[in-house]
Amino acid sequence: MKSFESELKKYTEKTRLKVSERQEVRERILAFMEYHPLTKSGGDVSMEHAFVSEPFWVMRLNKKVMRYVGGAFIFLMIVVPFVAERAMPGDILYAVKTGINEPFQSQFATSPYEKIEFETRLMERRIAEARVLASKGELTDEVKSHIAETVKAHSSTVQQEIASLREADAESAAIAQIAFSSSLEAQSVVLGATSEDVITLAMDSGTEEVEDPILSAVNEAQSVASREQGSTTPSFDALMARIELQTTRAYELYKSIKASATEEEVKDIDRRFSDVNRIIEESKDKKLSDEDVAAKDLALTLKQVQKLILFMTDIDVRKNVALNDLVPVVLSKGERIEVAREESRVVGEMLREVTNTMVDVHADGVVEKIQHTLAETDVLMLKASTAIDIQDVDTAETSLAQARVLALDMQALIEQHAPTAEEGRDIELEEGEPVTDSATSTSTESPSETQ
Amino acid sequence: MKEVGFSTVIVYNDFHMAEEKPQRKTGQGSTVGGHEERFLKAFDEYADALFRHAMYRLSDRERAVEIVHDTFTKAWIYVRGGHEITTYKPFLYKVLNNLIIDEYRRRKELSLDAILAEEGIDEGTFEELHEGSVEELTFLLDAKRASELLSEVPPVYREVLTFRYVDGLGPKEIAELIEETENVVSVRIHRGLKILKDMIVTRENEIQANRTKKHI
Repeated sequence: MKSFESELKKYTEKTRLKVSERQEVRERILAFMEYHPLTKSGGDVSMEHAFVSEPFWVMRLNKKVMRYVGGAFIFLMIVVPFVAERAMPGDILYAVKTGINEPFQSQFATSPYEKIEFETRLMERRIAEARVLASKGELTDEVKSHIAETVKAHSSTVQQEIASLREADAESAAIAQIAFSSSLEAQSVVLGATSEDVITLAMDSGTEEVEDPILSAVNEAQSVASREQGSTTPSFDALMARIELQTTRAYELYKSIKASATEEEVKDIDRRFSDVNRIIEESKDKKLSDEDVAAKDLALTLKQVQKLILFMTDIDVRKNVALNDLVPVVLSKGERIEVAREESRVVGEMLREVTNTMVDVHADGVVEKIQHTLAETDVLMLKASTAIDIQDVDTAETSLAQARVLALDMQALIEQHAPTAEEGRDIELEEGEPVTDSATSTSTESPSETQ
Repeated sequence: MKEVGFSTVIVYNDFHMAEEKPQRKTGQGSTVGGHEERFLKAFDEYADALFRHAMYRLSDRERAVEIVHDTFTKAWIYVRGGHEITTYKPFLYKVLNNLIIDEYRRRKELSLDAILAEEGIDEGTFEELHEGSVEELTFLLDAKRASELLSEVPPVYREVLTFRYVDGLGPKEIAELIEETENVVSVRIHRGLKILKDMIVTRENEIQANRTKKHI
């Protein structure tokens, strides 16, 4: 007996396409194949042709091509920009750094304040490049001029951004101006130190001294920034918030460089931090009586912190500039009192010297003048002494400074009118008195030597 | 010069087609001819079988012819896309089956009974298969009647029965085509045969009753 399967198959096989149906379907399929032919490689040719005038292309990439394309893509998009970050003016990849990397990075600066910060960083970067090239002896006049132009361009952009920010948010603009000014001041100090070395070298080699165009550009920008800053001071609270941010950043930097910094640098930086903290506390107290003065103090502190950050971030700056040149120590009140006491002692000595030496002066009117000035200095010294006693540092410092100036004037006057050694001898001979060594030595001794 | 903005479409064909490489690299000129030749040979070889399958599934000669045509045009588009069809038979059956499913959906042909039958389908167990083996069932079935009544079996069983007895595919091949497990396929074949047997018995009873009626 035949199986169900084969029996069923026998019956179902009778169901098939009629010859005419088969022929028709075959012809339709052949026509379809003709209308949609294969490419030589078996691919779709008509698709590419169909879209030849369309605004897109069709590309076929096999595994190997994909590998090469992928490799080239990684090289162009990752390796080249990464290497270009270290490029210096004159390098092939420097154009990638300034033409691709930096514009790309600038896209991440969204707010006007961030844009100003970014432009400032670019300016600092250009100057740092100049310093690196100078240290290698590769800083040509051409590169200098180019960098100076770039500094001017960045500075101009910053000023424009600040101006537009001022219209929307005057306080943020004022803070941005302070930050930019402090950066310029710091760069000016650093470039000044570097230029001094160059000038010294130039003088040693006998070549003519030429003004550094980069330093000129920075100084010019600095003067513009100072002018723009004018008398606008941000509010105390806004400044305090910005200082908080910057000091946090500064402390983080300090932590990271502490291990590599010298003992002296660590001590110096510690001192600056303590100055900043002290001024902040003093400002808080001062705010209760005069908020404007307190805000001005904070504005100066913000500048100090920014310069301190620059000192810590740029190893090249640390090499070339002493921290005290960049961020001078701010003395505490107690320290200022001590300094005033010492100054009072020194000026007192100078005045005593003047009193001692004025007996040698016989010129008409001079003695009277000195005596009058001495009376004036006595008043100033008394005022300073009283101010020291009542801890009024400002008055003490002002009085002592004035007293010192007067003392120096009197010393110069005495020196000018005191008789020389020969003149003194003639006078003594005329009077019939014997000439003594001590008298000669006294008359020829300069005030400074006496001191 | 006219400037045209453009975007790039990247078609990466070789990713899953490593086996095609030798053919592509050798004799590119003859590859086109080779593809066409193999494709037409597949038509000559499988057109009738595909039509038969479509006929039993759709019970509509005209649609069956159209679906065979569509199966081959879809296959050609696939070849034109740069793909290689290593074995035509399973590929063509797969395309055909998908087109038939689309046709079912389009026509909403399923009867209420069929829907209920399909909804009520569980995946079945091997125990069920022992209630009366496939061999026993087929032994009792009249092949001629079965061929006549196959198109009346609910679609879900008709699908596997057609693949099994009209196209002669094994449960494993059917399982791959309809993307089910072999167990599910076996259970459906078993149930489909039972339905077919019941239909034949019912039909014979009806015929017998009619004859008796005429005698009386």
